[in-house]
Parts: sequence; C-alpha cells; structure tokens
Amino acid sequence: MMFKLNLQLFASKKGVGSTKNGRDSAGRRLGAKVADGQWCHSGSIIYRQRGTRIYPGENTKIGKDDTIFATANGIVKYYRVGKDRKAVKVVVSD
Amino acid sequence: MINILIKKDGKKVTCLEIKGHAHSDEYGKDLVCAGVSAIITGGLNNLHDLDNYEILFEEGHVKIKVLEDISAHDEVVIETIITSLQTVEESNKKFVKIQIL
Repeated sequence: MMFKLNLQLFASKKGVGSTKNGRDSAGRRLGAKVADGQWCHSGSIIYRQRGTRIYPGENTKIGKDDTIFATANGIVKYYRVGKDRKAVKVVVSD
Repeated sequence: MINILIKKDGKKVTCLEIKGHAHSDEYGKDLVCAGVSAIITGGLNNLHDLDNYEILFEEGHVKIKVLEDISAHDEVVIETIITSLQTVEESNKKFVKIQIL
C-alpha cells in the first residue's frame, strides 16, 4: 500500500499538550496552637487564622494578620458567642 | 473543522483538498478524523495511475491534483471518496465542511 493509514491524520495534537496548572503554595499551618483547657503564657499565640473564624475574648488580642494571642497567663477557653460565632479567652489563674 | 475543497471542470474532478483538524475530541479519540482519514487513505491506495496525480499527503493536509485524463476506474474511486466524505459531513456538520467549486 502506497499510503499508510493514520486514523488521527486530521486530529489536532492539542489534546496531548501539557497542562498549565500543577502549582500550589505550601500549607500555612493555620488553626489552634493552644487547645481548650491548656495553660498559656502571656504573648503566646493561641490561634492562627485568615479572617476572624475565632474572635478575641478576655485577655486576648488580635494581630493584623488575625492571629489571636494571649495578653495574660492563664487557661485557654473557647466558647460560643451568639448563634454562629466562636471566641477564645484566657482565664487568669493565680 | 476539516475543510474539504473539491474543484471540478464540468463533471470531472480536477482537485480534491482536505485541510484542518476535526477537533471532535482529543487526539487519539477523534472519531470524525478517523473516518475522514480512513476514507482518504483507502481511496488513495486504490488509485491505479498515480503518475496522473500530484499528491500531497501530510498530517492535517491532503491534496490530490489531477494532472491528466484518468481511467474510468480512478474516476469511480474519486467519486466514491467524495460520496463517502459527504456521508461523514451529513452527520458531522460541526466538524466537516465540503465546498464544491
């Protein structure tokens, strides 16, 4: 036979190209750093987050990257605020 | 879209050109392309007097130019190629377009 059959003679090769995806950034290790009922120092980070998933309560403050940290030594307490909000506070222990 | 151009001089076909990509599916699964490829390749292999033609046969582009008077057999072969391509076009208008000039 003079001409060899290529069944994809009129098919575009686009399907075989590489994908432009496949990149991702490293995980930011967000979340709780001190669990409920644990003791913590003043100044230590309690919760890393993006936005305010957890709100700051007593003896805690929120940083500009929404990190919540303790402003006193004591026991960490997570609690609900209203219908759908959570907050964290530090119960000062003597 | 595969574009098929058929040039005729009266009733005689003088040039048959098939160009483009079907894009009916990804490479290796493109059924429309497979149909057109099989029709063209099978037809070309059945032509007797290859010296009477100027044939370009490459991926995505086939051109058959008739140089001299061809035998009745070859006329039937070329007509069969065209009829088969029209049959494919009929149910795949999105991927195949035939123009007769």
